[in-house]
Amino acid sequence: MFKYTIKRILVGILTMFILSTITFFMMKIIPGNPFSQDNKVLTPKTYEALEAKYGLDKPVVEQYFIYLNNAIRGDFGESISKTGQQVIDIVIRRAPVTARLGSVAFVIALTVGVTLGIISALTKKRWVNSLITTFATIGVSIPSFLLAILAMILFGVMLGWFPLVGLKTPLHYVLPAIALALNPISMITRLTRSSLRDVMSKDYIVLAKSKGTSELWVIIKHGLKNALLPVVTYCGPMFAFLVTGSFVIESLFSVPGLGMEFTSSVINRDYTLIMGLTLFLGAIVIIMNIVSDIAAAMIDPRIKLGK
Amino acid sequence: MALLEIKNLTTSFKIEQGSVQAVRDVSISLEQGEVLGIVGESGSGKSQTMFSLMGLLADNGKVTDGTIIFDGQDISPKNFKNKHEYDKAMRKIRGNTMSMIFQDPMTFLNQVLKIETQLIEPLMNHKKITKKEARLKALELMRKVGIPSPEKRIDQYPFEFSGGMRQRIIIAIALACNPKLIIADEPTTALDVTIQAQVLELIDSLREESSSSIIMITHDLGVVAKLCDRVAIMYGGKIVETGTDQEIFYDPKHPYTKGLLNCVANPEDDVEEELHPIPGSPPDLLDPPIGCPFVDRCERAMRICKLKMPDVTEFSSTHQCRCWLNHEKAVK
Repeated sequence: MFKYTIKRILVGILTMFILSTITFFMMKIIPGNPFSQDNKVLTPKTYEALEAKYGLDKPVVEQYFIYLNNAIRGDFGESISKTGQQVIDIVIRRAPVTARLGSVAFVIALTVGVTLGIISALTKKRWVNSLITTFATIGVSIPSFLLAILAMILFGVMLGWFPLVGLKTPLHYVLPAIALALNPISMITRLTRSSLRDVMSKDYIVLAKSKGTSELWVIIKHGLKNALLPVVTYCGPMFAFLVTGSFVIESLFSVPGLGMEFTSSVINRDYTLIMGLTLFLGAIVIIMNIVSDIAAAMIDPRIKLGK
Repeated sequence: MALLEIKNLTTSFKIEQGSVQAVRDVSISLEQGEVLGIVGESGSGKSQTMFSLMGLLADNGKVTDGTIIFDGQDISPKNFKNKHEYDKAMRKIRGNTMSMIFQDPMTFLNQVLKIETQLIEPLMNHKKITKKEARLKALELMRKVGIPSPEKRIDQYPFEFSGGMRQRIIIAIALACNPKLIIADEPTTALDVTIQAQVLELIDSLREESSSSIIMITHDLGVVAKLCDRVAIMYGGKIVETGTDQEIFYDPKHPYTKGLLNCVANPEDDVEEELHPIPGSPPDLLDPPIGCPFVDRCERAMRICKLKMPDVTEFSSTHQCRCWLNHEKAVK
């Protein structure tokens, strides 16, 4: 297990390196720079001075190595559009907001998704199954912003049950968390359902029953452990995406999180902030992937042996 | 009193095209300590008879008729108010007084659970013992079925075992609670030939040690000759002939039994004799024939065979056959 983990971490570091390289050069390919929008205001001299200050006058490859060198030492630089603010401070300030909302959404997605999946896989009532499957299909196919807006109109405006702006009280979390969780719920429901169905028709389930084990225990011990494997693998990346924020949901509900910050950094060509946020989000995605892979290997020992 | 008495068991499966009559009017009785072989080709209903007995039929399968008395208890599904009550009663029996050895060691063990977990499960279900005691018992079982260094192996996973070793684990699971009846569903079919011999040897030695009755489902007459006291030949969901091994091998009465025996190569024959497979294929049990199921493949079929299922003819107290050729008016 130790060797497996180390291997995964090394691959993760390599991925981070590739991610930063590609992002850096893609960012440079986009025409313009942080100051080009203010071109008319800035005198050529100020413009040059600004470029020199952020090292943008140097050749791109050299800029890249300077950046890499700083990043390795933990220095992600100062935000260009938000003068005086360190990129790291911005991330530290914004990340917890998004992470809290994302975690709530994750817990909702996992519990509701797995429960619905199990019910739909095992129920003998056809209408229950159709109801859940229909719900899951709708959840996967309708974009979250549309559902979010519908939910806002219905529960926020018409019924007035939940507040719509910000994240001040627990009640504030309800609508954005559900809007965020809806897609993952549907995915997890479908995954759990198909996987558990498949597992329950396996030979080892018959053998477990032949030992006189109760139906419920057969499902829990012999069924779920096998059936949840694909769900666990899906949960890692899903958690990463939830805690790194959705721009759509964050702007709809005016949540001051990472998603909003990310979008504005791209619009402003805030090179240092783009890089900092990309690396941060990338790191979370990679870490969560490693975590879910390790969890999967703990469930099924064949995985770490590559069998 | 017999340990097991199955009378007129009928089982069918609902599929889209209709209902498959997998087991039709099967009666079997078994004494304590006896080894019964059930022989038949694929789809003859031998396994489904046993799954009906264990109450492990697939969801679309149902025992529609017949009684099953096991160990003095009526365990026919119709004897219970509902499925829940039936399952509750069967749970106390399964793995305890009646257990099953399955066909394929590759698919019947749970790949994500340790051998220990799978092996102590029947013990924890039925005996009032602690996990520690169950582990000791499991080690003892592993020794009994011939698994070397069980202390190390018990903490491993099935994928770390070879096919033959896995089958030994499956056998150990079946033996765990010292059952009165062990049903072995083609226990050697999925193994290669040398391992087959070892596993048969193991079952043979276990039979001598314990007082368990065994029902051996197989399509291998060699297995029957080695292990069984009595044989039932199944065809098209029906038992067409039963008898002691002597009676079946030396005095077969049913053309199907004779055909089966003709399919077996005799290594002692010097002359290179050709094998005689039985031409044709088994009947479609979606629409089972009203007469003898073997009629379409039988060389000596008569007009009556198509019209009516033959009655049982008794040749001895153990040897019975269902074939019109045994009728007094039939041309001999």
